[in-house]
Amino acid sequence: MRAAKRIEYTKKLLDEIGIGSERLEFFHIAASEAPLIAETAKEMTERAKKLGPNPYRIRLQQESKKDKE
Amino acid sequence: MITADRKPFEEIKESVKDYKKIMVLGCETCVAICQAGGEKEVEILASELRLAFGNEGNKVEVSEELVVRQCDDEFMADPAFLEKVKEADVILSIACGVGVQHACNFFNRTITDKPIRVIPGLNTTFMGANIDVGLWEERCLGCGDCVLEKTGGICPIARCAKSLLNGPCGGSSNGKCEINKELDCAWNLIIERLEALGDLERIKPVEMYKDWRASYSGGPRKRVREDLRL
Amino acid sequence: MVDYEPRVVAMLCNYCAYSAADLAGVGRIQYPTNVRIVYYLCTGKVEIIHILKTFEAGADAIFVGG
Ligand code: SF4
Ligand code: SF4
Repeated sequence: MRAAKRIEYTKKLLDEIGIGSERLEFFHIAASEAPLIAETAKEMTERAKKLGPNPYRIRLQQESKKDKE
Repeated sequence: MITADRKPFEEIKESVKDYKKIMVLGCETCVAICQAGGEKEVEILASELRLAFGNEGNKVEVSEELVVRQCDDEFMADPAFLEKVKEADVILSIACGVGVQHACNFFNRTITDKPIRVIPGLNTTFMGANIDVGLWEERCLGCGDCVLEKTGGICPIARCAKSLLNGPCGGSSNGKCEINKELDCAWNLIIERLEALGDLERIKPVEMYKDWRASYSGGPRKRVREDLRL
Repeated sequence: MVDYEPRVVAMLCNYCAYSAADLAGVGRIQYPTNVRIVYYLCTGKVEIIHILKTFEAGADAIFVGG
């Protein structure tokens, strides 16, 4: 599947730029699998919690705070 | 077309790390078609650089520009574009090596009050064809004295690992080259094609030599069309 | 573990995952409210640049469902 392959490739880029490939994932979810999508949403939220905030966002916030000071 | 691969991100990042204003400059011709230096790749590389430097608390401005061909003056002559070039600390060109050199030459010829730094984001690979989706193969070495009429349209210079004029060599086995088992033996292909054409006679005479002076061995080449010169 | 409200972006295909999300809504299946959904006609159209730009915009995690 094209999307899955492209996501694989993008994960590599994310590692290279220090965002981390764990922040991106591809899931097969069929139209009938409502519980699965809820599960996935929970899983990714948990994962994001474990990983902490996107470092780029944090940096930007710090920078803009510094700029204001 | 000319094909190229993007340099490893680490290498690119290292080469631009001392600059604050980076312009990623793509080329819409060969490298766009082989998906190494076109519009999409400009966007991706620029975004990667912003994220990677941003992550390290290094604020950089990365702009994105695209020209039809970096190997031609006329597509880069727009004054508004040249103004942007002047504002950047470094131009990260993702054209082929020809484009990088020509853009550098052109910018420094037209912008006289500031030297312009142009560096490459790609490794230029070869002149080749798009064989299948996502697959390119080398086809010509630009030898300056084409022999395809004798070889059934298959180039022994670019496609035989030893550039043999009289082949195959003893290493050809089951249609594959001894250099690499994945590689078709060009001379096997040539003989099959000539056989099919009923033209096998054509390779019977031994090719004694080829005029390599027309190739790169004669030093960098120049092409002049007097009738077109001003 | 850092205590914060992560921003998760879901890029979903109209024909599979988005319908599933719809169904989850109809069936009142709970899922985290910090997930923002981006709707695609097909996940084959999710470009690399969309993902990178979404991280640039501050997403903490992204999942693509197709
Ligand atoms: S013979 Fe020379 S010009 Fe002709 S295809 Fe081969 S390398 Fe190119
Ligand atoms: S095996 Fe064929 S392609 Fe390889 S070097 Fe020998 S003649 Fe050339």
